[in-house]
Amino acid sequence: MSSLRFETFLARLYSDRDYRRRFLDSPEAMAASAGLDEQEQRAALEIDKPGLLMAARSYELKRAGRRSRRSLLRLPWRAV
Amino acid sequence: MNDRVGLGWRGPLAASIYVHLDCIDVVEVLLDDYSQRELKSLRSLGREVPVIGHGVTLGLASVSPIATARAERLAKVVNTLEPEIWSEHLAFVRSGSHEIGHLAAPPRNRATVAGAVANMERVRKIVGTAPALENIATLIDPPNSVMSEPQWVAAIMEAAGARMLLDLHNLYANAVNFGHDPFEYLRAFPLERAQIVHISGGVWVEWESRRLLDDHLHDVPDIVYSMLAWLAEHCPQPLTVILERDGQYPQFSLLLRQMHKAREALAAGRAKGAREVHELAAV
Repeated sequence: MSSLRFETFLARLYSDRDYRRRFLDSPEAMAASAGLDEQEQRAALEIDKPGLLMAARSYELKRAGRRSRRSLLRLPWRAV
Repeated sequence: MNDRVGLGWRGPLAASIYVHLDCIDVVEVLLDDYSQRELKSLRSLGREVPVIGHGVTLGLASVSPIATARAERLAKVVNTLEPEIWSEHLAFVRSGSHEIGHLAAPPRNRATVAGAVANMERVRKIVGTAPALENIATLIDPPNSVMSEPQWVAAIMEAAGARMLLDLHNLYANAVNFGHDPFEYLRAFPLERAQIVHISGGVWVEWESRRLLDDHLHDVPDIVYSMLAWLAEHCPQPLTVILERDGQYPQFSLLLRQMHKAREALAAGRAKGAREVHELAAV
């Protein structure tokens, strides 16, 4: 139904640009090499590609902004 | 009826929030890895205005158990801040050694329902209280899903006995991105569990397809206020509405204006709901 392996495959697809590029170039080979079962491989091949590209881009921007977000949360203006 | 309207605590808004506490019913604080000094400051905020907490890093909706150390760190923050209620997202944020860096929608199926429910129980035991659960926005239709988003959310809520944080802009974005009518989509969620409501804005992005990105950097669109009014009309329970803004901060008066519009939407929805009850009683 949904394995840890599939979740890890998605997390890598969303966060690793090189892995994502290799998947988009050779989806069958990459889905098979991720150790997914037959149903998961089918799901990987039917992935919403525009959504994948946009989501990955938005996660990339979030990761890049994490340090600045941390600084935004500081409370320096008022010592209580 | 004790509906409340507030906003998310962010450092750049701190001074304005303190100045305008008379217009703010409640403040939502992110549950982050704060220093002792920061925690002390936030505790003092809680003496001036009701505070609720909001977690963003647990990754509850996963087939893998959340790390005990992560839940213990969260417990320390929750138990120091003592928020009225706290919330987390129905998302996964990592798997194996891969950190996604943000909230991702897991496959919507029985395995992730079971994983989310097990993680809720784990968190409840470690923190001492259970979070309200928030629906997330996604730009990708999560692969390997066999349930609709409302079915999946309802299954987790029911099995976990959870309260819901209903994010109306997340819901609106998913509706328009994946071909649903926003109001029909809203109606399909387990609204009787909604206790907190998030409102925010987003931006349209394009990459082979056009989708709405929930970025918290733009003003709340009018349709979200209409959805809030509809919610107030159909859900009798008190709602705590939080305006989320994470950057590109406008003048604070514009944020106050958006909070005022949320109050107007709540009032309009409550009045319409009361009229309908009255008319039904008269028949």
